[in-house]
Amino acid sequence: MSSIKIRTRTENGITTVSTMIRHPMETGRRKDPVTGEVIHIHHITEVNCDVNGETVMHAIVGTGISKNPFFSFHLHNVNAGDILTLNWLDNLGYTDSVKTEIK
Amino acid sequence: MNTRRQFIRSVSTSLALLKAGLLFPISAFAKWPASTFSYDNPEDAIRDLFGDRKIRPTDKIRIEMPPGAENGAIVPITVKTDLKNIQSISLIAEKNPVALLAQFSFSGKGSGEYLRTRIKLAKSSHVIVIVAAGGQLCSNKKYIEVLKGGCD
Repeated sequence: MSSIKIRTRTENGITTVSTMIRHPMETGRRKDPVTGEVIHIHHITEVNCDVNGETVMHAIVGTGISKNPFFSFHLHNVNAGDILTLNWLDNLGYTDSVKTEIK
Repeated sequence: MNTRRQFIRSVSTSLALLKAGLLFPISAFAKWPASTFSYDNPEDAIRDLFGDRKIRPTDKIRIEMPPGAENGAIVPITVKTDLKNIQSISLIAEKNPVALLAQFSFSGKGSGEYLRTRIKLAKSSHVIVIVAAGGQLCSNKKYIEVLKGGCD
């Protein structure tokens, strides 16, 4: 199952992209409540969003973004049928990607 | 513990991938500037991002946050701005262990007039928003009371 949930809504020519990514966003400072051991840093470092292959949003992300990151932003002049791609990369090299067609 | 086992497994998997040269397959990626995320002092983070460029305070950047957060681990923030040609929006926490929370860059059809996310805050402090728009830097900030720090 994809780690990414994405939704787009267009109103008056403005498309709102909302996405939620399943990710622990560990800061490297939290201790395991049972073992007391520090949980290794593990966080998303980059999020990229393309429309028809052209970057529209690119974010560099640190540990200060909450667990299961949520992002919402606007696009202009997007047409029905355009293909939106969203992907993320984390500090351990994991990555995931989702494609959706603008309705 | 399960989490520990998962962690060891995830590390060994990523090490194996690293050896196989399979990491970072997307060329648009791997631009994360570790040093920019190393500062706890907001001034240092801002200097790293923008050098000595002048940053103009403005109320054209509107920051929507609750006035207080019981739990600093999940604080919703919305940034709305009337500025044109927005290149980037940087979110900075005044008293976090890592000052820079994230920087969002917009291009083409991407517009920075509206941005919503959820951030972690360690203490009651200002959240600083810096917007690069039309070749200029503008900023605004908002104070939020945090009862329980969320940066562990």
